[in-house]
Amino acid sequence: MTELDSLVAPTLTFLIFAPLLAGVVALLWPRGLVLDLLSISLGAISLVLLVPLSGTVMGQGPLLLELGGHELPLGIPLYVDGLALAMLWLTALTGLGTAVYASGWLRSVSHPSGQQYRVLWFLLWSGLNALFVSGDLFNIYVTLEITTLAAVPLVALARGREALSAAMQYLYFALVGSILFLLGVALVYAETGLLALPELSARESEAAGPGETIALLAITVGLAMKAALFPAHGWLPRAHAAASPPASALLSALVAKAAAYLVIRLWLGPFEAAWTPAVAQLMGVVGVLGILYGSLQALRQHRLKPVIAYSTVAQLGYLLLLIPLASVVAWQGVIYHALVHGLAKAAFFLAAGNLILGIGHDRLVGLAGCDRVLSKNLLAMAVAGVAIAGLPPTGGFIAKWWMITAALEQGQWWWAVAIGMGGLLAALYVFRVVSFAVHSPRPWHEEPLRETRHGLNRLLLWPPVLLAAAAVALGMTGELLAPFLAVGAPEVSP
Amino acid sequence: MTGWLFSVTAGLLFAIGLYGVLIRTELVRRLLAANVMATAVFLFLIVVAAETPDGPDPVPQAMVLTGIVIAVSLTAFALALIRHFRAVTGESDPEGGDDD
Amino acid sequence: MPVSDLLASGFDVLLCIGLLWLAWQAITGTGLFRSVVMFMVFGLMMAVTWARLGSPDLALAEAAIGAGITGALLLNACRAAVSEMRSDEQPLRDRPSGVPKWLALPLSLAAGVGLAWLMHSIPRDGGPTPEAAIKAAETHFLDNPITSVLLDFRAIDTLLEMAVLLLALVGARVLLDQRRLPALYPVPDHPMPMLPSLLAMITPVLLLTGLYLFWAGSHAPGGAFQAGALLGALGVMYQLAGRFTPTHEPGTVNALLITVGLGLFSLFACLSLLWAPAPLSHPEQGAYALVLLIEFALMLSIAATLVLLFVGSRSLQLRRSTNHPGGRQ
Repeated sequence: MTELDSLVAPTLTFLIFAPLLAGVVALLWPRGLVLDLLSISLGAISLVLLVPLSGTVMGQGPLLLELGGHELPLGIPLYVDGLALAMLWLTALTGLGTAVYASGWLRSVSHPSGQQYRVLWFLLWSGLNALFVSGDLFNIYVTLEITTLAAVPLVALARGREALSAAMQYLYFALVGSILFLLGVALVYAETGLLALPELSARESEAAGPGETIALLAITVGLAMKAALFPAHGWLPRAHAAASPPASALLSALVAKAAAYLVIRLWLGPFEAAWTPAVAQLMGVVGVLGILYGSLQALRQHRLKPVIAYSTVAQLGYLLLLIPLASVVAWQGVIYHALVHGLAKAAFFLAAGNLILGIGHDRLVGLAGCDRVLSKNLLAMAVAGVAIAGLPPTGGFIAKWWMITAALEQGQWWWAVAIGMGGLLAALYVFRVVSFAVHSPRPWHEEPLRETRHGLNRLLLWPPVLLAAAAVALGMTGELLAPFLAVGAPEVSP
Repeated sequence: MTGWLFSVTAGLLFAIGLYGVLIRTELVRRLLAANVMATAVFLFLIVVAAETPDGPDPVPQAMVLTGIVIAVSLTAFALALIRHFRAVTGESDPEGGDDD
Repeated sequence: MPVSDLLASGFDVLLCIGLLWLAWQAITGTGLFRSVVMFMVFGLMMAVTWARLGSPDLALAEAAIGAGITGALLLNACRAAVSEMRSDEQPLRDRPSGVPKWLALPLSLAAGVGLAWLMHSIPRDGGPTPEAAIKAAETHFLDNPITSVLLDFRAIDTLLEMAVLLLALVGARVLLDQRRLPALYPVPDHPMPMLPSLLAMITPVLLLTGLYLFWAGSHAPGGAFQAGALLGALGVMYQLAGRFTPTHEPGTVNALLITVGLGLFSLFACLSLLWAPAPLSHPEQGAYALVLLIEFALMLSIAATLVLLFVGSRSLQLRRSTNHPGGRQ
């Protein structure tokens, strides 16, 4: 193993343990202002630290840090490649944006669970960072449980019957999902005597035994339940629509994506011997069904937040397309998609939260005329939507472009068609929302707008605007970032 | 013999748990069913640990210990959620009371 | 086959049949209370099973956490269901489920039998991780191999698991902030006459057993989790006896107790960069003392968190009116 850059270990330690310690501080010293400042500064420091880490990954290839100094296969490694790096960036950017937003939001609604929200967020943050860099199957299970037990209370935080009911449904899906995941881990361990992902990936690719295939099945179904991948998506639209705005943003941009991230992380590499091209095509089909179903449902909703939530179901489907495509370009495209979608979706949910705060509801027909009151906010929402739909010049376009290129390069044109259709449908549901908003208010709809009590706090306005701007900015930086993303890409080319 | 017996038991426990999760809608017993499923997985791991040559292998034992604590955490939160859920849905006016 | 082996096999068969029967009863039986009791007995039988399979550590943990604390929590749920349900509702009756029985039964049976066959057919030839773990545990400064896995080889699992436990409590607090449900165990004005003497008897026993388990964990079955759960059980008894008053005011000592395990462990993870290139490395000198310190903190946090989860209030205060001395608030 090559000598690691001296900054690597402190950076990874910071990313995992600083939020954890902040969570402890939040419990011991529940001062809202202090904790908000802490949260924002941790986000900023994370971003700063990620810059040299990215450079090291770029220069040295995937990094491996053995915790406790225990060599594999005994210890637990942290593993950072282009995919993990992109997720760390996404977590830091979205986390920072949401932290700023939450500091304003918790004040403006004077939420009774402000302290709890902050503790949940800190621990969730730590769990997500740990999940993205963890290189050990059982450790991943533990980090998944952190995300679950932070995410479900975040849904319940919204109060009221619907939130509790949605949280309950979410919890049961997640519970069964985690048991299936653990079953898969047990089977893998029984068959191979390994838990560390680098060790599992490094095996000579021989035909896997039935145990490993079943293990992959159990793990995939378990993760699908946690990520709400179609057809195990039932809980997501309710939970993400019921949650409060900053929680929805975190759940859609990061938590659901974390489980979907694990699907591609585990299929490519550690479990490569356990599936055949035919199975990969099947996974692709599941992904496409999710894209189509989620988009069509998003088009049928009458309220704003369910539209965004169903859009998440659709957008997570793209991640599965990496499995049949499995080339460097597809890898870059899918990671880029995850990145752009995360930023844009967070912006979308935060902007929707502002709308609800401003006009008191999120019925689409009642949005008419809100562009006059909340113009910047609406613009952020529209731009985020355009990025999700993948129109130029946003990052979404680059992601789709790469994915379509990969599909055409390999002669698998049907995925290109599916990606195009998904983009078209996304454009439709985004424009449907925007067109509702820019309609002239009819007389009987005017009343809610007059009730707009206060102008939008700056802490609430700027996070969605900046996050949406970041999703657009990624449209210019595709060529620049491509080599970073490619680190650790699978070398499979059919 | 022992390993075989406990493997079969683990499999059947998993079946019972899964059956319960599928058919039960009453929340507490669905939770019990999920706990039985988890226990079945723990049993698998411990059978593997016990039958390791030169064993027992401490790694699965430690994993199950961690798993038990995680299971009790999930169960505790789930029970709290169930209680509050029932309290809310038991009200004649779900949006009333102290919900703003 | 010698008689003792035959007896042991017969015992195993009975044990397995018992486990399956109890699990089936817990899930399909009518009546919530009955199900819960069946599940608690199932937990105790699991503890016996772990002991039979050569894991006394797990047997202790299962008895204390799996059967004990989970059982107490479930009995809580029964009590809540009985006391808070209106008579005109029948929430305990199952609604028609999405999955019909004729489909669920063969599906689960196929999954279970398939898994059993799979587990049976996988050869038990160890593998790199078991070999490395068994070898490393032999020379480790902690004599209990499981403790060395939990606090050294896979320390981050244990650390993050503490975060999971803490999150359960924070999640419960989110619910408490929304609606304060009536206390399940109101503090009695006049404690039952037997209780103080019973408590006086049982306190030193449980306390000593807990501390012994904690101390033993480094070289014999036991450890922070088992000890923490036992102390948690003691706390539950104190609460039932009315020695703790549940309050909704934040308490400093409570907050310290629930966070000290995670906090100290995380601090150790960060500070270990001072003497080693990777986090969570133990120092060459004083590793044993450090592990004991961390385990002690874990034990306190586990006990306090479990008690608070059981009580369902924000914090607990020791009742001043009784003249029983105690350090826990």
